[in-house]
Amino acid sequence: MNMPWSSLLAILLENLRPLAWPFAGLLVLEVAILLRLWTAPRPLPIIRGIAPAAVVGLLVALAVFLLTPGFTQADFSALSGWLDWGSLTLLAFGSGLLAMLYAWPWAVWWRLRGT
Amino acid sequence: MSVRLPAKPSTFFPSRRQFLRLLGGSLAWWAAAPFSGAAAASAPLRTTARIVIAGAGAAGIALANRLSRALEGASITIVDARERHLYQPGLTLVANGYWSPERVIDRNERFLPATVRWVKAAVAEFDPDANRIVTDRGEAIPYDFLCVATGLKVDYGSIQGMAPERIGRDGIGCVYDTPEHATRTWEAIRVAVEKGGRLIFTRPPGGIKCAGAPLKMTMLVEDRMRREGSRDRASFHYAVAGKALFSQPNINEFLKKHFPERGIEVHWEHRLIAIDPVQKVARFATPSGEVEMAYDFLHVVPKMRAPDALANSPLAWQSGEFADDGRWLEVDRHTLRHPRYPNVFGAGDCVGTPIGKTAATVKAHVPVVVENLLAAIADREQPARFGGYTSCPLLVGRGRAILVEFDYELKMVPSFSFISPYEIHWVPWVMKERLLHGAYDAMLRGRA
Repeated sequence: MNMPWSSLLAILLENLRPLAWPFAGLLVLEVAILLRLWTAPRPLPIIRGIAPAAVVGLLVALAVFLLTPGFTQADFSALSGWLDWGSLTLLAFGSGLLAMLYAWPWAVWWRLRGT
Repeated sequence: MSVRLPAKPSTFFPSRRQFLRLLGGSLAWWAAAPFSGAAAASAPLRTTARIVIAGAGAAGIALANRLSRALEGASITIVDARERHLYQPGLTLVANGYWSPERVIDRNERFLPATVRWVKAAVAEFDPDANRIVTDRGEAIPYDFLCVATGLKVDYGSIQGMAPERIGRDGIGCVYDTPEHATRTWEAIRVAVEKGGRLIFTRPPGGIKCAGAPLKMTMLVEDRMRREGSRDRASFHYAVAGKALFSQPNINEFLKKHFPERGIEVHWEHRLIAIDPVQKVARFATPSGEVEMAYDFLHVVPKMRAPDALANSPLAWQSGEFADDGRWLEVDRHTLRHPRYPNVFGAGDCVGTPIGKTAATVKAHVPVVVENLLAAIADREQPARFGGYTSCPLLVGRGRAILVEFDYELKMVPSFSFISPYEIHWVPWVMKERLLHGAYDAMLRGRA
């Protein structure tokens, strides 16, 4: 890749600038839930949290897969070849994975309720 | 819903305070990481040099931001009367109805660093022998180093019968220059898409801003007519002044096949010289004499050249192709330094180099100019070299594009290995439509 990582990160941050407050809010919530888990009784139900987090990830992946064409005005009417389908699938998979990682601590906390 | 606190934190893990410190440190490192590389590589250079930047377009603002961070104690002045900042790469999307004009309009003050003095006047005269410029208000501004980033002038007067006021009327469009022009072009295109007829798209000789734009306009309008079912009622003509559709040979070959496949007739060596908007006739100069063609929609691309103050100054090329073409700024094509006035550098559309009057080229120009200017201040050799990088997301239809990136040697230099420069794909469209504006703003701030 010819573009330096610092440039890529700067571009990513610039693109996220309009979403800065929602992202900051999500980050604060995630840190808060991680702190709660830090002080929660052991053992943490980490494995049991995977299932609901995966469901969230799957839903997000599905939404990205279905909504990307309309949102971006890109032409998906004649998707052909592994490159087209692969790119869309990769985008959806990546988004789903991020969503799953974000949701995981929440799912663990949810599993802890009542213990 | 209750989460009980443990009586005693596990000794395996750090304490909460330690954890917060770790977290805070990590976040601070992460936030600083993208910007610390350049700063760490070289601390600000102390100097009392007076630096003047002529022009507050993409190149001028990016230079101002990078120089203000790279220098300590310098006096940096930027000279431009324009307060509005235009995201010009978005004009093709405005002119085809995909973007509203508001999306390409911003304010220069949002991007200029507070440490830079902004003189809100146009440059009326370059006087490099006296190391000064003179504004249209008569103010003389002396400098030790000058960065010329004036942009270019769209020469409507080079076509008889053409004027900016005609855009949007009598079937005439022109995507260039302002969002108002692009908006009025979209109005003319809407009429053409509905009624059909003979649609002519032109490409003048010489260097022009975003040389892919005339091609994009042709293909996007053709694509829209297909989608709206009116393609059968229209004939498409592309009148190009030269013998090639695109400077990069692979893309040129692709287009030479692609245009006929889409029913777009190419008229080689046809240079638009006059328009009769009443009769709707365009006149072209060809090797075999003048030719007239009737039109229902005409996309006019006037010849472009350096702004008058630059073109009439000793800084312009005095002979050769870049003098004949548009009297562009003379620079060494690799160092971007003026060969006759070594305290003068150039960036952006105004420089006389073989290819690239694009925002992507500006992004590549600016770090080279900054590094070489710093070396000049420190009286060192010129360390940075510009390889001619330029880029064009060639929009072939709604949602489909080719990301073309190449250099002086016309070799493809793709930024992303997973995007083929030889395939029509939706990812470059999404980049153009969704991501590049952010990249452009990051460039203005001197971060990318």
